[in-house]
Order: sequence, then structure tokens, then C-alpha cells
Amino acid sequence: MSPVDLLYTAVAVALFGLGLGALALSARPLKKLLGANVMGTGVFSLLIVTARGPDGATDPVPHALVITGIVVTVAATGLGLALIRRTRSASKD
Amino acid sequence: MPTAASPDAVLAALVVLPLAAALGTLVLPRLAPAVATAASWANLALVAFAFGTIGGETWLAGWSAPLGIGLRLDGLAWVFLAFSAPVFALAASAGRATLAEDGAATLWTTLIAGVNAIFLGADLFNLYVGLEVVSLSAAALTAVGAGAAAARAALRYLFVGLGGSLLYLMAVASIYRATGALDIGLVASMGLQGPALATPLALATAGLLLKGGVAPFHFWLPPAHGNAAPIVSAALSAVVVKTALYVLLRLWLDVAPQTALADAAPIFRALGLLAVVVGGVAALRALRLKALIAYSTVAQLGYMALALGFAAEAPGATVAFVAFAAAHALAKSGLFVAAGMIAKANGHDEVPRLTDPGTAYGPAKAALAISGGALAGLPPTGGFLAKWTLAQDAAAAGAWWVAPALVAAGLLTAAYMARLATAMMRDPPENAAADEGGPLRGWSALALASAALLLGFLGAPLAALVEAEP
Repeated sequence: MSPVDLLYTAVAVALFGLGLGALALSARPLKKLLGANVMGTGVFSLLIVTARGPDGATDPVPHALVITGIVVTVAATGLGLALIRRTRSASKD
Repeated sequence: MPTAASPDAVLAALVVLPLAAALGTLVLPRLAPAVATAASWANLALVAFAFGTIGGETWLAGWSAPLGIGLRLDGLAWVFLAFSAPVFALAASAGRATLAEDGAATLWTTLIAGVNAIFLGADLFNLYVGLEVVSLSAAALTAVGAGAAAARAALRYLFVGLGGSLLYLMAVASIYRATGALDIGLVASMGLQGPALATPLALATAGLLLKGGVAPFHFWLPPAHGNAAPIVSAALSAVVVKTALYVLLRLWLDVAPQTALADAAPIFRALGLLAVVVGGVAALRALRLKALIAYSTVAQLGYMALALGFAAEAPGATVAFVAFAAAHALAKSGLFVAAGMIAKANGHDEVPRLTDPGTAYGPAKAALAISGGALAGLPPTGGFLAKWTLAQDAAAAGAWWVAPALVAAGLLTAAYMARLATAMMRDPPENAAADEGGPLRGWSALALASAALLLGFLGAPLAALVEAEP
């Protein structure tokens, strides 16, 4: 593994860990939701490093996975925000 | 086999039909509950028809691995489809009012599509997509037409689902990094070893146990299952948690080598026993009816973890795992629908104050009794079949303590189900009302409970289907 690959991998794993920490430990819903997004970014970064082949050729499969993953994350974030808004409007009643 | 249908069409239809119905509910909002109910029944018919295509697989639109979406139907997958489909169909018929809530019909059908995609999924990434479709649909359904408590429970449920899915996705990414493959069979043939195997297995197992509500990761389950509408609770506890445990089973049976499962077995056994005790005691102490039933789910999921803990040594334990999943799905969905009716007739759901709702509720009360027996594992129900299979296989593997533990757990179940039986013996109020929801709900609950009873007689075909898996 080249030093650049190693750096990217380390950053990807760190992002995943930081996001997981925020999702599990934060008390605030919005922070949890952002934590899940950071976690996802970590996984996607790891997949993108994986796509880089040893001879500079790129493997298209991880890119397809990342695009699908981003779509899923957008949907999940939208649902999360809608639910957060509902709990807030409900607690005002 | 009686049919010569091509598996391509049938397997694709199992995913496409509910998705098309979801679009239909958006195009025809007034007819949405009818469309969702019809799709649930059509899904049941398709699953029955798919029995003739067991062993088949298809690659959607002709794209093969690794970019294509593969669907594979083996005996194990069919059994999971076969106990989920009647839950969706009967629960939809029992809960037309819930499906008429804004968005519920669409979410119900996307839930079915996601569930079918998981059971048929042939590659690890598509299983992730299926898990997410199920998680998002289920979390949103939890909040449908309910108050602030349900919205908070839904949000917590969403976070747990997201965390679990992302842990699983990280496992998939590291498997792809190590093997360049996603297809389950292909990954298994690569013979991963050492940290390259242990890391993804640990990540995926943590994520799936969290999503599956296996103790000590069950903290989110009772509020989510206990605050949703009755038919949503039925689908969540009968099917949704099973999808995570199904992927867990696939992972340990089909991807990991048998030696890895043997190494991890003590963990699954310990978690299983913990879940049975924690869930059973909490169900015994629960004040609200739906909380009691939700904690009972926690306990029943423990049996599945316990069975997985023996699957490496005794192949029959896989049959027990599936039998627990099926018996619990049918009994628990019947119980949730019946309990919803009884709570509504009482006007509250505090177990110590519940009374017999009157003669109009005959089918619901019968459903309560039968599903209680199935959950406690009384012969001849499906619950007994599952316990008997597991006890035999564990004994064959030298674990004699399993049989008495299962009997003790059954007594614990009987103790908390007796709280409901006691309530049904309290005299109905003077002005016992007629059942407002129509007779369909009670009979749907009774049909589900009866299926859990019937399962007890299907031990041999069940074992043949599950063990036929290559």
C-alpha cells in the first residue's frame, strides 16, 4: 500500500470512528444525524481508496457502491430531519 | 415441481411488484390503502407460486456480477418469505385505518419490497440496500398517525437502524477491499482468514445484532414496537427484526467458514440466554400491554441467537433458528393485532386493569390464547417444534443444559402470558361495546395465530427446505 493510500485509509477509518462516536454518545438528535453522515463519509472514502488499483487503473464497482450509498444517506437524512422537526413541534404542543 | 415458470420473472416480480404498488399508492392517493392491501395479498400469492422456482436465481436486466443485481431463491430464503408474506397480507387487512394514514400505504409497500430484496439478495451490497430500505420504511411507519412519544421512538429507531446499517456497510467495504467480490458465494470461495475475516465479521455482527434487537442491544426495541400502530408493531416484530437476523445467519453460514462460527458460538449462546432472561423478566413486570408484548419479542429473539450458537456443531440448529423465526413471526403478529383490539375495547392498555372485552371479541381472545401457547412453546405449536429441535441438537452436541433452560424459559413466558389470561377472566363492563373495527381484524389475528399452531406439524418439510441449502 502506498503512503497516499495509507493516509486516505487512516482518514476514512478515523471519520467512521468519529461519526460512530457522535451517533452513539451525543444527546442531541441533530448531532446524532450528522454523526451518521460522517460515518457514511468514512465508509465512502474507504471505498474510493479501494477503487484505486496498483497500476493507476480504477475499478468502477466501488464508485457505483458509493453513489448508491449517497442516495441512501440523503434519504435517511431527510427522514431524520423530518422526524426531528416532528418531535420538536410535538413538544411545543 | 408443478410449475415450469422461469425463476427470472417470479424472483424479479417479488421485488418489482411491491415497488410498483408503492408508486401506485402515490398516483392514486385515495385508493392507497386498497392498493397496499391488494399488493400484500398479491405478494403472498407470488411467494406461494415461487415455491416452484426454489433453487433458481436471476440477474436483473441481464447484468451479471459484480455490477448486476442478483436474486437467489433457496429453501431457507423461501421459508423466510413464506412466513413474512401472510403477516403482511393479514395485517394489511386488519389495519385498513392505519394504512389510510398519510404515507402509510406507500411505506407499507416499500417495506415489503425491502424485505423481499433482503431474503432474495445474493450479494452483500444489495443486502445493505435492502436493510436500509427496510430500516427507513419501518422507522417512518413507526411515526405514522401517532403522537410525540412515537415520533421520539421513531427517531431513536432510525438512529439505531442507521448505525447498524453503516457498521454493516463498513464490513462490506472491507470485504470488497480484501477480495474484490460482493457475491456471497464468490466471497466465501476466496477463503478469507485472520484479521481480513475477523474485522468485517465483528463489524457486521455488531451492526446486525443492534438492528435485530438482540440483548444487550435491545434498548430501542420496546419503545419503537410499543408505541406504533398495532399492525405496524406486528410487522416490525414479526418481520423487520428477522431481516437483520437473516443476514446474520447468511453471513455466518454462507460467508464465514464453519470454524469461525464455532469460535463465536459462546458469544451467541451467552447473548441468547441474556435476552431470554432480560426480556422475560421485563415482560413479567411491564405495566402496558404493548410493552409486555414488545419485551416478549426481546426474549424470543434470544432463542434465535441461542440457536445460532449451536449451528456450527449441529446443522439442525439452523432448522431451529428458522422455526423460532417463523413461529414467533406468526404468533407475535397475531398477538399484536388481537392485543390492539382488546386495548381499544378497554380504552386503555394497562395490564392490571384490563378486562374481558365481551363476546364480540371471540376470535381476538382465541388468537391471544393460541399465540400465547405458541410463544411459551406448548406442543403442538411451532414454538414447541423450534424448542424441541434445538434441545435435541444441543444435547447431541453435548450441551445438556439447553433443554432445562428452554423449559425454564417456557415457564417464564407462560408466567407473563398468564397475566393476559387473568385479564381475560375479569368480567366485561356492563355496557360491553360491539367491535367497531369489523370482524376482519379478529379473524386476521386468529388466522395468524392458527398458522403458528399449524407450523408445529410442518417440522419435516421445514427441515427438508432449510437443510437442502447447499
